[in-house]
Amino acid sequence: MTAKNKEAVRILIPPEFEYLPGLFLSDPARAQWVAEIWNLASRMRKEGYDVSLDAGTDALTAAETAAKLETDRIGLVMLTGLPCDAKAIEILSDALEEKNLEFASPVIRESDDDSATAALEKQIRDSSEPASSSIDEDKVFINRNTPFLVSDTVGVGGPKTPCFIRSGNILRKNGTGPAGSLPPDLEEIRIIDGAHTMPSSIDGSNRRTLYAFALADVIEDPEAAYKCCSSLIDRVGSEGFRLLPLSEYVSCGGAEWGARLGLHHDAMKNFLQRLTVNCSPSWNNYLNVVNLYYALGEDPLEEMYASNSLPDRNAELIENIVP
Amino acid sequence: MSSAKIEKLRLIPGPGPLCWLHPELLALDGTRANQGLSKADRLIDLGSKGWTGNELLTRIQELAPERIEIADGPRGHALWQFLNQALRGQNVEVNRPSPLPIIDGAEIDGTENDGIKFDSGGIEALLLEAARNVTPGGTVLFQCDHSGKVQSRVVGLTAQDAGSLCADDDNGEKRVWMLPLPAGPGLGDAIDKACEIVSQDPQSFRGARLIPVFLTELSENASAIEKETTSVETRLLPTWWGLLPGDRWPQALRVRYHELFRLLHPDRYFQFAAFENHALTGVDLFLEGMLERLGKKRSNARRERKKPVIIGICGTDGSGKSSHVAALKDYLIEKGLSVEVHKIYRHGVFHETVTDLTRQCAGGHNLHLWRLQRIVKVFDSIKYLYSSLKKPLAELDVVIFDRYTFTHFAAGVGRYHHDPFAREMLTVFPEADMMFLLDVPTDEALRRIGTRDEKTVDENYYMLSRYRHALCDLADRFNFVKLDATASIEDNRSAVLTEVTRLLEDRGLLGGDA
Repeated sequence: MTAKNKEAVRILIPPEFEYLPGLFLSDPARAQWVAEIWNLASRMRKEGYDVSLDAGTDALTAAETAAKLETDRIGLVMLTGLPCDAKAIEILSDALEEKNLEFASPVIRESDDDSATAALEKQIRDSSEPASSSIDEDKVFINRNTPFLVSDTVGVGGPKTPCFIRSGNILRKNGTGPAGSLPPDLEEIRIIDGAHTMPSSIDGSNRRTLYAFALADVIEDPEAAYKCCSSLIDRVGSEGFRLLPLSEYVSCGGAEWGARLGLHHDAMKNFLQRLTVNCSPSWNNYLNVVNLYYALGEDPLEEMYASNSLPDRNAELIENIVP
Repeated sequence: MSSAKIEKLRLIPGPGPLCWLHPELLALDGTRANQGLSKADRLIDLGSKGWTGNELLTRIQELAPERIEIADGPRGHALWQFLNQALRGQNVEVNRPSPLPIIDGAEIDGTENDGIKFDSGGIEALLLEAARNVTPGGTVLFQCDHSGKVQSRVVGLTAQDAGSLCADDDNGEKRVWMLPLPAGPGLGDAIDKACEIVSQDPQSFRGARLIPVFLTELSENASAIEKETTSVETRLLPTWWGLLPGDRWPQALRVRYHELFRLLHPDRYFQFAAFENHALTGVDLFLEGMLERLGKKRSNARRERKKPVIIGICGTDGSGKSSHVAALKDYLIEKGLSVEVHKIYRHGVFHETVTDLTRQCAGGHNLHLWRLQRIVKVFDSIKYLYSSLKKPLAELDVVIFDRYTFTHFAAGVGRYHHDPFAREMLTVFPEADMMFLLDVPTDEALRRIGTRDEKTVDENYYMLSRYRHALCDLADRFNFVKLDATASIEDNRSAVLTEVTRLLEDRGLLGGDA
């Protein structure tokens, strides 16, 4: 057995499971949290702490992530995510336990709670010793694929990693190349919410801009939200339009991911149905499928993360009946 | 409502799983389908307005066509399956489209068809047509201009090609770069080769959005090849065309393809894996999406029912259901009520026969049977309802079920089958008035059943823990009375009797002093 590097720290964030990526934008709140952790790791590397970050963007299953930690001989594993990641973190924890890998108590980043970063930092300082010199800060991410990052400041992610800089309701990409599940050539995201009127200059000529409408606004006035969204899609096409998932996590029982997409709420569900039927018909039948997953309490993407596909589990499923 | 009767209605199906996974392909899914239509005919492109099955049927009734033509190809075939059943007995002729893509107006597999063919502009036909000119290891670049005109050219599969496609200004054109993967003996090598090339510079290939597409063989076409191989993993439904190679998809090849897909589309990988799982288990998501299932609320009529009171006790194997069911029955009989206990999950020869189906899935073969055995069990429960429950449900005061429909639901989620049809079929059962869940930790359940000579397919840690999780979730959602099965039998028995007594008092079946 290879000895572990006791000082190596890996922070893990489970992947974001996107059920309707053509209709919903990746979660900017998660993107901001990843950026915050990058900042923390980068700062601590300057102090000599060997901290790296796995943002879950390489589509590794939980078991594969655990195997990689073993290969990389990581001494301290830390898990973090948003409240909606609780189940995925549980799956990841099970995979780590399976490999007898120790990990610190998961840190969940609640909205409007700044203490999560401090909690992670404390865990690292309490359990790890810094080297005498700083560690290259460019290599914080261990991922092959760049995550979606949102920050108020330039420089997050290092010089080669694209990051969206927030300025009011505009997220402008600094750097080039693919970021998360966003279109690789995307340059700008404009968030349209109730507090901001729709820019009159939108004409769809710049297909490198994505317009994102906050789903939360549907609750207050579904009719106005529908008019705004249908007008937007008229001008920029469904490729230039996305909805922003709900930022507040609602525990609703069943397939809880659905609450992020408003499937638990009649007004939002009807809004989505109406919008897809009339404005983005290509997505309507798939929305029906996703509604079905939700109604049945299923979470197929998370099941795949847990390596629970039928062929993957075949031997266990039939262990009592094969002669 | 249209009053003019039309002669011919032509239907173009909407996008399916291939486009759901790779929305870039929508740019190619054009409509070139109006050839041969007169002014008196109609064309409905189901992808243009999110039509559901019910809406389509309503429109067909309004238009009252003499004949319906459905575009050839896998999605057209699924649409035909739906309409063929829904319009049975009505005076309308519906053509039977081929489940395989049609190119150049000619079928590629030589199977029989009733002769009505037209170019739907479907993505499957376009991809197949373009792939004909590609030598092994080559790719196709589609360019779609502002007017919707699509042109294709053969491109190499090198990091340089990917890099130049990323760097090129596309002048607003939509571009789709496809890697065709022909089903057949060379498939593994083709996947390995592509993986090797893409892994040299995955970011460029990602940026250029190379989309791997299987030139899928379907079951109907595979029988001749099957004679040469025993490795049949499933019976692939036509609507999964392009996403999987066909019926033969052994684990080793699957793993290699996953690596390629992960390199190219890490953000879509879990979605692909979920689709693959559905496809292997014989689920048709395209049809389900069109049918918009489970959208209707159940009637309140059953909720107003006074008799009989229906009580169900659910729990995983080893949770102690049977002893509580027996005690509850004795208690209610003692109170002078007419009571029977029923099991809608039958054992014996039936169970053994169904288990034989499951046995055939060993080694990752015939995975579609895994779902089939669930459907058979659901049908047996329904058969039991009509054969054995009619009288008790009409005459008794109380019917107690040792497991109820929720166990079927838990099996659907727990075994990850995604069987909405089961849930729909089970709506023929009356709603339970009170449900109990005896929840027991999986380790303890295994200890309790450890002494049994023969174990069922579900009596292992993996399946029991999934059932437990699914049942706990259902208990929360459907307001079960949840009991800790590790507590003393007396305490749980007392809790069951207290809850049931309260319910029966509310229903006037027991007096207040009971």
